Amino acid sequence: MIRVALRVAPLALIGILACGSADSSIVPIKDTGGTMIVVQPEPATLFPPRMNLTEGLAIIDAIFDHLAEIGPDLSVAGDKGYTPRLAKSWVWAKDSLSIAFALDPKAHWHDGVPVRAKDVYYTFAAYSSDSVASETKSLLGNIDSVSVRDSLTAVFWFKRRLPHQFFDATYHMYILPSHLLDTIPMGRVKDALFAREPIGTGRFRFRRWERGARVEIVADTTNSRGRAKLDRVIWTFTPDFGAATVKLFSGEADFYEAIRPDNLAEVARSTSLRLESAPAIQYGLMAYNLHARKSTTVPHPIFGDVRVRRALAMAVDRARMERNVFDTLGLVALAPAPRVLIPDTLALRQIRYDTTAARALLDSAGWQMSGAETVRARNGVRLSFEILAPQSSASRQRYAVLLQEQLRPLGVEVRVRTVDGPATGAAIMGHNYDAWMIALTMTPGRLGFPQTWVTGGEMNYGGYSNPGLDAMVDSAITAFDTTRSRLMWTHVFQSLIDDQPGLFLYEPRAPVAIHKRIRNVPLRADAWYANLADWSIDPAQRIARDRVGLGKGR
Amino acid sequence: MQVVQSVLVVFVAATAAFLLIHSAPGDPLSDDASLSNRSAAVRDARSVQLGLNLSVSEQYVRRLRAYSRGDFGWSSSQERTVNEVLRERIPRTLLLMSLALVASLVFGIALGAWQGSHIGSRADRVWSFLSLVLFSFPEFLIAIVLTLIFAVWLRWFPAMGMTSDMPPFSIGEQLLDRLHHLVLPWLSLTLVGTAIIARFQRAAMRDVFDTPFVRTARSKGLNERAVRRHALRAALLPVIALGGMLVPSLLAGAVFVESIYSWPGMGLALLKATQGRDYDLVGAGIIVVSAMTVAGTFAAELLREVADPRTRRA
Repeated sequence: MIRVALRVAPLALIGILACGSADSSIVPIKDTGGTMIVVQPEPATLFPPRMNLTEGLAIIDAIFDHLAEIGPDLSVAGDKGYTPRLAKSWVWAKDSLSIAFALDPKAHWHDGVPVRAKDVYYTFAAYSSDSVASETKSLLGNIDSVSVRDSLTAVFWFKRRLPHQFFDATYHMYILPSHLLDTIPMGRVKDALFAREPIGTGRFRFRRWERGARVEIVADTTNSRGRAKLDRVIWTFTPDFGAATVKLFSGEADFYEAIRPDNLAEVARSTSLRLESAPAIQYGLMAYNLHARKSTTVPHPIFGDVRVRRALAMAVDRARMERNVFDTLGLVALAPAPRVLIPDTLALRQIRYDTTAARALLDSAGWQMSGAETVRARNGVRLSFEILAPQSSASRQRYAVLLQEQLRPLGVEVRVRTVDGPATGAAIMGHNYDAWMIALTMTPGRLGFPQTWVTGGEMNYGGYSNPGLDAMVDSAITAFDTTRSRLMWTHVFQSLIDDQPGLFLYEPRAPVAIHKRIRNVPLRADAWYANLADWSIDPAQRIARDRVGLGKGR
Repeated sequence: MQVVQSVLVVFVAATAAFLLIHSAPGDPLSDDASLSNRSAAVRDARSVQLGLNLSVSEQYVRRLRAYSRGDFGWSSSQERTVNEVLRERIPRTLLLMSLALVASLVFGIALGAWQGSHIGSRADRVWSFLSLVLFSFPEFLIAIVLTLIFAVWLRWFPAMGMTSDMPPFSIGEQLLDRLHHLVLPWLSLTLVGTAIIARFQRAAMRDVFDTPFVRTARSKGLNERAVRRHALRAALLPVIALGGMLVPSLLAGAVFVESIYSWPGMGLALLKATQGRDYDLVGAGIIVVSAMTVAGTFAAELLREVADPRTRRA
């Protein structure tokens, strides 16, 4: 047996080494330097147009650039607050139907090739191509075309004058290198090596992606906007929350953006971590299916009636539920939007928590409880429904259970069904559900709002329809007059509070856990990673991994 | 004949996997996280790219044709070819599994043989109790306990991964880094494997000690050490067969152990693929797992023939 072991050992060692290799160079840097390790789930691709979830966006945002970067207030009207990135400057046409972007002549790709207007032209072609099937294609509908005026000037042409034209041209698209991609058919570009080893223009450059393990990016020392302050950022991948927190609390990671209330005390006890609060642009709700199961026309026997929806809103103590689930990390939702995107929070009339009024409203709507019954009924139909709670979200599962408990005394029977992501998706898209717990992340300027709440909106799965609201939303989004726009948005939100197409429950405050030695710029509500190149590490607090230097790469 | 049987087993497993994953609710594009930001047009375009617009029978025929060309398809959860995923992940799982299998056999046989020779002693009772405890614990529970003790509290070993995030420099450091990361996942699998083998080996030794050839050997005055050596050889036969059967058990354990330790092997990829309804990767994974199981059984039979001349075919 020992002989066998001795024979196997060298083979095992070779096997161990064959699964990867490492680099060998140490370059000390004076006032810059250090390594930050971020823990998160692994993205499927690093090809910007195919990026969907936030985990991949953080990485590509460091490697690629927009033409201009939105300001911290996330204003989408005009170009106020934007800072130049690949575009050095821009000029609006007199009719405002085109914007000419003058590119920075010093900007170059990480392979040394200068950035040119044809890159911008190619980028729009890729993002709007059916073959690429970009996640953001539907948000580019107002851009008619992009043309190349000269090698350093790209012109965006718009179909319609809108307040958010500049945002449309700059926010959704990371500029791609045409010299590396334009010979590949659009249908195959997502499979290209570029999608795994991207070459961008950002202040960080891609170094390696060890599948299933990590992505490493390092400061681009030749960048025209100056090198990133950190030497390197490593995204280390874990499949779930538990594994991520183990990595964070064992000191193997420096940053985690999905901290939960259960971990607050542990972060507070930690001598190396601090919590940083970021304004989130997310809110959570119990969204109703307003149509009967598997139908898009027949009203839902329970939620088709606005009186029932309002009674349910009165019946639950949302403040108590929010404290139970989020502790200090959340707020009660005021409307279908987080506070940061509600123009006038004080003007909104809320439906108050009042179980007596809720009972009376249900009675008047015909849902009554007779004799020894514990569940209300109307015309033989029981006031009983199912909530779909996603397996991936502990907080939404908890909310579903609390709703079940709070509604029971009123004679409302709630069944909670916890299902995985694809099963939830299948139920929602097939309209085969009663209610589901969802957290929605909004786009700056509420530009994605129509998709969720306007009649026929692509993500209006519950089938909510209110022609008056549709017109108000359109006017609010297209209004150039800010005061008028604010007023209309207030009407929109009030309409939805009154109509209750969903029970608006919470907005998370989304704190991140971050190592104390890291000095960061304020976190932007839509993207903590914006301006990552300006994060640095206090020289006095550096630890071993901060002293490695840039290295040559594996 | 055995090869034909093996191919048939793999084919049936692959077909069953195809039907099961397609009958589960949802598809690769219906993840709830995408519902809030993926438009219907994008979903339709991707559906065509993945062939989801075809009927299940058409997808099945297409998949079989692709398999015959050695093409395992496209992984929707990893956005690359399944062949590429397999090339990368299988060696990692094999490394972990083979080390665990070898260690389980070595430690399990040694422990079981020793116990079998000392049946009824206090040490035997202690080891029997410990192996029963380990035998009844699932790998994931052992993995969690080991992580808590050795990674979180004592910080002797890394909590997860196959290598350190910070690149080590010399070959020696790389090797040590790999070994360092291997310890806990390897131990999680090995403890259970050792317990299984030890219990079988102990029982086999006890049975062999009751056989006439051992009594004869003793009555002829053969010393106890030599008797044990002969008994061990005879008692190895059922354990060799068990070694082959241990392969699927270790593979199943690897799914959980890889998940807990973020070991980027086939088990973790298969788990994520199942959660994301990554049809092609699940199908390929099942083919690989069933092929490995068949190969393990086949290897065990070969070894048995080598060890026991009575089972050799003419």
